[in-house]
Amino acid sequence: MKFIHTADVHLGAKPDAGRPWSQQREKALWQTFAKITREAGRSADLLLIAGDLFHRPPLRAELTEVCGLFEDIPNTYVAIVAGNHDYLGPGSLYESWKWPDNVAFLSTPELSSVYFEDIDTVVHGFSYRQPEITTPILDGVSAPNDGHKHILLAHCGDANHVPFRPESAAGAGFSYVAMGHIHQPKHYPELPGAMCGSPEPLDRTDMGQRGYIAGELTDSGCPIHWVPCATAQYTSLTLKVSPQTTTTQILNHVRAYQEKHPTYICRLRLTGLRRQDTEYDLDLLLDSGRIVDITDETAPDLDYEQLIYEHKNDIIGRFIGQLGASPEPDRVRKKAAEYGLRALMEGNP
Amino acid sequence: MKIVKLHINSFGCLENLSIDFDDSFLLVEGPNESGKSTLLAFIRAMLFGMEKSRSRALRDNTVNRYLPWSGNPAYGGSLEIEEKGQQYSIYRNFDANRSTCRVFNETEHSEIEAPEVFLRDLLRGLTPQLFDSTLSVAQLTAQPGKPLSDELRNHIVNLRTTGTAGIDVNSALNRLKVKKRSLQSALSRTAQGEADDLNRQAAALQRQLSAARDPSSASSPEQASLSDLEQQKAALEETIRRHGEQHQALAKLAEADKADLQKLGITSEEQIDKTIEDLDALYDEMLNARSRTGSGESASPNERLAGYRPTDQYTTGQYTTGRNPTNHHAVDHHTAGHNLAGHPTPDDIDRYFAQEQNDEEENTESNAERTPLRTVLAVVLFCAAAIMFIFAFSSFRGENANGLRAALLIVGGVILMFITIILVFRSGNRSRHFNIDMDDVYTYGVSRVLKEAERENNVDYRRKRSEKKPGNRRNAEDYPNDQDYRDADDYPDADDDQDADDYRDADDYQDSDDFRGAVTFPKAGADQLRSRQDTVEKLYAKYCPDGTAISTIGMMNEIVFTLDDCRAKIKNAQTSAGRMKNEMDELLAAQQRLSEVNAQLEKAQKDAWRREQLYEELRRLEDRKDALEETLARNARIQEDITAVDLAIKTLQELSSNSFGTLGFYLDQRVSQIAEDLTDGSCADITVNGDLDITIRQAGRLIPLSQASRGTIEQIWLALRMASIEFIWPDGDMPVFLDDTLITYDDERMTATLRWLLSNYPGQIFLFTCHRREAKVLSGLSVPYQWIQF
Repeated sequence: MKFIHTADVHLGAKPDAGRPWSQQREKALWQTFAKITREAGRSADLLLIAGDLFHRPPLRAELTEVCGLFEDIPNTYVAIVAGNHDYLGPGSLYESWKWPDNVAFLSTPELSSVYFEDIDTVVHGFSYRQPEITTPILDGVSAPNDGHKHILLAHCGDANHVPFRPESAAGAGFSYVAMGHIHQPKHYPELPGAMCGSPEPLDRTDMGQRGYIAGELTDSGCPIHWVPCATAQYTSLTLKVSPQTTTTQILNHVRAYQEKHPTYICRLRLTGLRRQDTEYDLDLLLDSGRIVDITDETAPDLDYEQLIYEHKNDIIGRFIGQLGASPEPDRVRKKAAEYGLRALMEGNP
Repeated sequence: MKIVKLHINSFGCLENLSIDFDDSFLLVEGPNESGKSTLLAFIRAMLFGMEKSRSRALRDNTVNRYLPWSGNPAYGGSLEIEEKGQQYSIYRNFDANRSTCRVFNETEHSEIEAPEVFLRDLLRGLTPQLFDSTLSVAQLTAQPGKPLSDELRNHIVNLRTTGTAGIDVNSALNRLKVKKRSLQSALSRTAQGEADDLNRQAAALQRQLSAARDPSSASSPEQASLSDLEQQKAALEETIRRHGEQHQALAKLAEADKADLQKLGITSEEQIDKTIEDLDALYDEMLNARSRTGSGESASPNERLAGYRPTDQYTTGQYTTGRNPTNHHAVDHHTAGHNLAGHPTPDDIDRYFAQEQNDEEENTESNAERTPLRTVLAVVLFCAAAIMFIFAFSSFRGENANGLRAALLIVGGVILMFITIILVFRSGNRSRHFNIDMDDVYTYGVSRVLKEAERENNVDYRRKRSEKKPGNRRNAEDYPNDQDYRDADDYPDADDDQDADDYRDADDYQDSDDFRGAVTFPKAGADQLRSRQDTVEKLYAKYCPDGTAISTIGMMNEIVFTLDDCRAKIKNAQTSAGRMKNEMDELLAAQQRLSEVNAQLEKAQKDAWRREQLYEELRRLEDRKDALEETLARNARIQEDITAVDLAIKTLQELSSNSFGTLGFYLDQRVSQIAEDLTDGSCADITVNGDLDITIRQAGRLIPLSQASRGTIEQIWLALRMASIEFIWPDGDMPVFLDDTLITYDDERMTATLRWLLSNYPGQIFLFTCHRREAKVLSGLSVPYQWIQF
């Protein structure tokens, strides 16, 4: 029995809202999910969706769209649970939705199951009815020894979302544990099972490639492999500046990098020493391309030790020394030193 | 800095005045209104220009205050100063319309570009305010004001803490404040408020959603789910449709029955009973007529009337379907609308709608009933005729043509063909008459012929019903839950059973004595019988206009069947009305329930729609919050910068305050020392706080300066000024101007003060006074001084 395991699709999300490429990213979520369903219809008997198919409790139009995708793969079963983002709120349309015959929506808050006779597989799962479940409801769960293949479909993984220790489910009798919620893919061969990760990165914290899991339940085990499918990738770009570096030079460098990697969305990090009286135009850099954020770790080209030595008896030395004793975070103290020294030494290099 | 000389072109009351100053004590003496203070004002104006004010009126007052009294347009003059070995000449014209300032380096014989900037640097941070609070001490204004104390403090801090006069803490603080304002202006102030507002709205929507009734989890009937209500609605609509169709079918049947009765002129059961009684009477008369002929073997009435007595069965309600041997159309009506229960069945309704098709099938079956023997005979004759025609043609065309033989063959063929045609037509006519004819009646007796005809048709009917049964069953399956269907389902079986009994009766009859003892009518009684037959035929024509019966008994039977059919129709018309009412009641009840379900459904749909609207609104709020996140993140970054700037400002201010505090000790020391010298030891312990408030400690008590005598106060303020001047310009090279400062001093204090100034301050000291006692004291002290008299 071949299956495809995905989760955290977050249809309806608007990644990088307010940025010029946000709308494109929003469409990409749908396109990638459509690609996964087509692939499931082509090569899998079962499509497992381990929660957060939608970014928020879905609207009628979204459910209709997804239904259309599932109707296009009538020979592939689909098993869905609701996650913490698309939880089943009061009067949820998601819960009362009429799904196609090939779709099983496990909507109960406690574990329930559905048996697919054609593929002799039982899928167990539960759905969220509120954004958080702090009870470890999966502890001690096990699959019945009835000769069928059993799959556990679970949206879990942190303290506020069904705390789950993979080792506790090892040997519980499940042929495969399909997990969702954590966007970073991870394999748990001891279960066997996996956290498939999101098929598309959703925000700047989802660094690296994204994809889904394709696997097969056989008599000898459950081999799986991870299939990258995302249309974009968040990546970190670090530039080390020098006192001679200007904003325009940084801009040109970033543009050249993005031409080389058109699917990348950069998180720009600036390090090094800049001219003491220079401030880079971060707003200009942010608007120059697919740069989602900028971390300016540059420092003015000042030798603090030398400054303290030279000004140990005047206000500059005392200013630096007194800032060192401030309880504020390092970043704030560092910036305060920069601002203060620039103000004190303006016109007095 | 030393003031070397000045030249006044015109300034207030002073005009064309030149003074050269030396390094010593400068005593400017003159009576009131002689121009001493104007001279000091001129020096100040030459150093700093006319004080600029944002107020046009105030500026005008300042400028106008020293307008030349003589009206000389040369409003201004020159001032020559010496600084670090360089001599500079400052030329100013204070005319409001032609204000100019030029500075020349007399040592290098060059004019300074940007003279105002140069002067600021030259004066080493000396501002007009600082000049007024330190170097220039006017009469009775020795106490510096609060703004000036700040200035003094900043200046002290700058000089004492930066180690260089080039680093200005105050300017640095100002720059930081400007930077903070710049950052604050970049903050999106509405973003956080908008986010808070969105959060509040989202929380309110969540509460509304939670409060909204959840039909999916409802258990009570009035809280049925949307899908349940939709199912109920569909079921009710189906019920209404079914009852409507049944009602319509009943109405049509009733209408058809009514039309049939009207066509036959039957209005009541009594009329039917009367007609049947008449028929019975006719039959009795026919029997009597036969008896009067005296021929044949007498038979009992029951035996003879075996073929006619079914009227008893009709009246006792044991009538079963399929009895009418000649009128299949009537049978269909009978079975469709008039079963024992008086209810139409789905089977009947189906047959009602399929009536025409059945008629066509029956006609086809009638054609198929032609006698096979006659058909075979007709075919053989036809073939023989054809062979004769062929031989006839060959006789004409062969070598041995024989015209006579050919003619005989043609004649023979024509005869055979004629016989064939007769056979064919005769066969068709007989089939329509069900093989009953009067010859048979006269030959074999009425009862036997009627029984045979009836049996033949019963057999045919049974076959037809069995053929139609699967079709009926299929229709019945369309009503799996219908009570009527169960009735209908039972009905065919009962019917069949009853038919079967009847068939058995008919079969048994063949072996009965009645059959063997059949009656024959002699020709002698035929005329009397014929007259009765005419009566029967008239009745037959009235009640069975489309009938095909030939025999009298057959006609009578058909009349009885028809009348009974009419009786059933009358009865069923009565029951149909009740049945139609029931159907209508059920239909109306279903419609009532449907309207209730529709109302519930509408409410449920409205609730669902409202929930969807709430979810959509919530979605829009969440999207807006997401869009705000970027702005809030930017705000957070800016806020961090603002915090850093605040930290820098706070740190610099603390350093400034601490520095002043540190210096405060020295100020205390120096002011106390100077005050002790000036007051001849009476005020030796003085404390100066950050706001330049001064406390005197005398005899272990702290006395605010305000409680001291006027002279002491002035002396201590002078001590503070001189201490500050020493701190600010430790080189002691700045000129000090005392404008009638000592006027309130007594001689002793004045002497002590002058002595201290002469012996402790190395820079130029300008003492403006309207008294002559200062000159005497100075002379008495034997110190050199320049006496400038006005």
